[in-house]
Parts: sequence; C-alpha cells; structure tokens
Amino acid sequence: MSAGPNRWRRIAVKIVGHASRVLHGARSGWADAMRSEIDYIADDRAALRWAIGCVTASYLTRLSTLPRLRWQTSSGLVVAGSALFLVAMALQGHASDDASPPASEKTICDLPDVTPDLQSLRSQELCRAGAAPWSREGHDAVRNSR
Amino acid sequence: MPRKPNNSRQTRALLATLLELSQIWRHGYDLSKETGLKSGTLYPLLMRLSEQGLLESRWQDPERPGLPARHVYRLTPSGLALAREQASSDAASAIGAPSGALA
Repeated sequence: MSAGPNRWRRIAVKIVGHASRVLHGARSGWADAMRSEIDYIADDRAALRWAIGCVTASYLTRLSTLPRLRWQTSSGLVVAGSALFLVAMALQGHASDDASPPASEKTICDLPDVTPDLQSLRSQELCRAGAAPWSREGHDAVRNSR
Repeated sequence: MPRKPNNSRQTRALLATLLELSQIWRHGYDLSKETGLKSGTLYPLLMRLSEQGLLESRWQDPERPGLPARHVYRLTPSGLALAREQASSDAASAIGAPSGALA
C-alpha cells in the first residue's frame, strides 16, 4: 500500500502555502504566481521540489526587503564590539609585557636580612654574661655590660 | 568597484531564454525547465527584473476549467534592449575565446 503521489502533492501544497504566508503585502501576487504553478506540474515529486524552491524564494525575498538601517545597525554593533575586543586584548598584552616590578618594590625586597645577625649578637651577649636567657640576673648582667 | 547589475550567470540565462521568444508570454515553470533554474532562484530574479522595469507580467486565464490562472512574463522594450546587449557581448566573448581550448 502506498500513499505516495497524493501525499507528496499535499506536502507540496502545504509548503507553497507557507511560502505565500512568508511573502505577504506587496509581494503576495508573486506568492500566488508560485502557488498556481503547482497545479500545472504533473509529477508530484517535481511539484515538491518546486514548492521547496518557492519557500527559498520567499525567505530570500523577505530578507532582502528588511530595512537597510537594521542591517547597518547590527553590523555597526559587530564592528564596535570587535574594536573593543581588540583594544582590550592590546591592553592586556601591554600589561603582561611589563613584568618587572616598580623601583620602590625592588628596593624593599633587596634590603639585607639583618635578623640572623641580631640573633647571633644576642646569643653572644648572653653567653658572655653566663646567665640563662630569661632570668632576671642574666638580663641585668647584659644591661650592665653595655 | 561596484558590481555590474543583472550580470550574473543566472540572470543572463533567463534574459537569453526570454529573448528567444520575446513576443510570447512565458510561464514560470516553463522558464524554470528551459533555463535549468530552480524556483528558488528563478522567482527572485523575476521579481527583481520586474521591479527594474525590464519584465512585464500579467495573469493569464486558466487553460482548463478547474485550474488556477497563471502568471506569465515577457520582456519590456528596455528588457529586450538589455537582453540583446548581453547576447551580443556573449557572442563577442565566444568569438574571442581561444578555439583550441577543447582540443
């Protein structure tokens, strides 16, 4: 059992109907022109191909009649966005190239570490006084030796 | 440099087909079969040529009862002039082409 021929033609008619809905207004006459040809095409599959082409023509025509201003606005937005992106990338590249730290920071980091010297001096003084580090006598002995 | 209008291969084929029987009104499906253009290409071309005043169209009464009226087309005088101009330039370029290209 095959529902073939009628089914293809029904689909074709529906597709052409959609095409005529896409093409409305001043172009509706052209939509009717495309639709009327379907009835003169004997082969059902050829009618379906014709209908698919009609939909393509309808959408192409509809797109070509969109306001030019809208297209210019959207393309302008794309250009502006691209320019902003390029500027951001350029700034980021400039920042990553400048990797050396500022002069003041370098000065602070390069100061000599004096902590071990102070600790060794304190140990020497404590040993010289012969006292325990945290005893009262030791503390006084260190102070008097100065 | 701006592109020359109505100079595409498809438009030239359509104009050449319409020029062959320039006094006869042609249907869209017949034009599609003769030019090899699909309806998705043919109808935007027909619309554009019509808007440019190169093509005239009208509704023709149905051939048999029960069938819808058909939209038919033919070139206007300015369309005929353009088609003839393109046909002569095509002929000139065909003459100027190297003859041993297919040898």
